[in-house]
Amino acid sequence: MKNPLSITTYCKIAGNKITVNGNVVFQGQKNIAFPDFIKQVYKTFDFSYAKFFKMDNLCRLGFAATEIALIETGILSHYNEGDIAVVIQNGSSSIDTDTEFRQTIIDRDNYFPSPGLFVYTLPNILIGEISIKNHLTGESTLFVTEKPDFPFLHTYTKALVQTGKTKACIMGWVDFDRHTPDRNDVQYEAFIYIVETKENKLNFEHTKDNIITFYQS
Amino acid sequence: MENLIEELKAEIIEVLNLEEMDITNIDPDEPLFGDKFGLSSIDALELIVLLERKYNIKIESAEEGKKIFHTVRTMADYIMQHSNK
Repeated sequence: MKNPLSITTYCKIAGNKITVNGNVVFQGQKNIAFPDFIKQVYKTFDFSYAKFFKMDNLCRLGFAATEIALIETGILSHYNEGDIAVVIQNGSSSIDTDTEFRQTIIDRDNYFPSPGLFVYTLPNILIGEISIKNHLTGESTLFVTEKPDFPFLHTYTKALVQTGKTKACIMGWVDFDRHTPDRNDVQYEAFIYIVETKENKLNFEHTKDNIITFYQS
Repeated sequence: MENLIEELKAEIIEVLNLEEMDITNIDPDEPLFGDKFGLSSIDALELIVLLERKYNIKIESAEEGKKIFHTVRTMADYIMQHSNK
């Protein structure tokens, strides 16, 4: 029986580089800091969304990868807002912003908790940001796992579709951690892939192997 | 007063992450919570923290906050009236 699900695009952001379907679409300077890199990305892809700059690093990263993937597929015009799910995995939760927020409350003599930071001390805010921008009202979940678990995401996607809860999915792994010393080499990584029930320009079969291959490419 | 207004514009841009603004884009008499800046209730809370942290002024009621944060000038007026108390 033909697999009813296709991966119709994927976008990866890591090491100051952005690839879409395996092709490099943006290359930042080698040693550029993430805030400057992602600002360049914002301008290059013309997001025109002022709220982007209020987001924390994790949200900026996942939001950028999603927006770039969405440009490629056009799923927003192919499906109803309630038929598009957003399911993301993450390894470091919101540790980046948790650490920054802690700095605003650690000194009892200089105790000014930042409301703007506090709202980002939960990683699922990322899904909220993606959904708000694109008016998505479908299923949404964020899983915190030590490593990307694509077999699990594969099964989860199939279940969402088979139970009639969704017709297209924004899936992936988005992780940001600049504070854990032994992770300095992997400070951030976003891998977003779109799964659809309809055919689109690109139609890679939705299999565990394909997801892992695209992630590793 | 004008120096305080310019200082406040820079502070607002920084604490509210208004990345695409500079101080010349902010008219001190335009509403801060109109369409132009896209500010939210979280931003209002950040402005309350700013007044407390930078100017040692505590705002006790939300109703008072609406008037104080109407424009940059109303903020500056309020600071001028309350900063030495």
